[in-house]
Amino acid sequence: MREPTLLVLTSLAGGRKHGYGLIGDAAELSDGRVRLKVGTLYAVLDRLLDQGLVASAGEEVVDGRLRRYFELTDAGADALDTEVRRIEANAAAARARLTAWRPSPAARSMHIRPGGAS
Amino acid sequence: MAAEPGRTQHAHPTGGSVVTNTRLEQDYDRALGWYPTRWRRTHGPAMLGTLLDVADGEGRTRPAHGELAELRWQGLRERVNAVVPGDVRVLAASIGTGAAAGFALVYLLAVSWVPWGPPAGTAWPDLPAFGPFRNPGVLFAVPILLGALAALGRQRMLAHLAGVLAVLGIVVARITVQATENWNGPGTTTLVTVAALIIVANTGAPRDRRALGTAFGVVTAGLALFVGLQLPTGHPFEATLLTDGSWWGAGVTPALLGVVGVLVLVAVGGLVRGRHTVLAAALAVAWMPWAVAGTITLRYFAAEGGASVLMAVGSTLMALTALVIARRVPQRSRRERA
Repeated sequence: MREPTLLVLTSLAGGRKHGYGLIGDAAELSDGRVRLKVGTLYAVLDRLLDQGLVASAGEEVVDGRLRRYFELTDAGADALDTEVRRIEANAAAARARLTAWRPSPAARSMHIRPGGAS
Repeated sequence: MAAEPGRTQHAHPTGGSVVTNTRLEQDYDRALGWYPTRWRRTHGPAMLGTLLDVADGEGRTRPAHGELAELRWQGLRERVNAVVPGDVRVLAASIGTGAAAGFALVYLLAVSWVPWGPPAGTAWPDLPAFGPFRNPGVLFAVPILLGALAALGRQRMLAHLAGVLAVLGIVVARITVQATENWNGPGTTTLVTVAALIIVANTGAPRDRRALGTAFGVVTAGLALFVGLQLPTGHPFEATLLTDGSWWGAGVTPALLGVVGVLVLVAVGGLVRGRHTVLAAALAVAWMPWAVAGTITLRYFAAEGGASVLMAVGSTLMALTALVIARRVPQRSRRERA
């Protein structure tokens, strides 16, 4: 699952949102690292709607602008749960390896330069 | 509804009419016109509202830098997706990249270079040598192989760049053949087939490494076998040198392409029945370059006009039908690829 898809599903797991709300929430969830473009957001939403992972959840007109809301479906929650478990398993494996990791003598010597180690 | 001064009233794709009151809104509305009609009906008004909300949030009265270009690009992508869905394009591009690499490798070794043969220019003195090569096929074969390596390394842009270089290689090879009257080609059949292989390989991101590797293995093994067998000659594995003409006349023969075409049809039908609709459509699309080769060779090498038309029409119908089914019938495991 790509990051924009993961962020959209994660955002909707917190409740129904419209496009602008999703963009703001995705930025917040990623500590400002991911700023979804509107074209990208709706491409993701269109695919998720097609796959039944997201559903339309009403519309409203604010200041003459249409706002369409989206919500997570049961299938979407399952897909997000599966992805989160996969990420957690990978992260746990990586953490375990990193905890046990010690640089080999060869790797250590590669960092030693004239004048001291870098 | 009458438009107020400073506002523009125009028909909206949804059937009603909307009022666009700012230059910004008009710019966004025009950019959204790049999307297909179905998309605009479904998402157009909500997208426009979101674009304006984002602009307000950022205190802008003009589109952000690159924003309209991104909308146009996404709109074009959705237009392509309306014909060939994105997941089909990824798989077709992966299969196409592997198949193109298989073709390029075997053609390079068996026709263009033949490193185990006598030095170029000695066995056939009339044949203009191209450096150590017997024809300029190396100009497209090497970029295609590098493109496949880039795809395996998940370097998508490099893979597409290699595709552009391969197309340039085809053009230069064609000019070289015409300038030297080189009877070892690459001939029109080879160039058109390679061009079609490159087009399929560049229809999407070739990121399915398993499909790429499988297609490469099958095509390389199959071509090496039949180019070595040269069934019509009755002397398998005897010829050391192969001309561009005998590649199609004795190796990848029209009859062989016809048989493979039938096998592909059976495979696509089986995949559709098993609801592997994306793979079925990708296979049918990836078959098209070979269908092009079959159509040309059946017509000009075998003089089988009827079979040539059958190959062209049958393969096109198979691809179109598989694409329609892929758009309408969800793939069994589609949810897993969200």
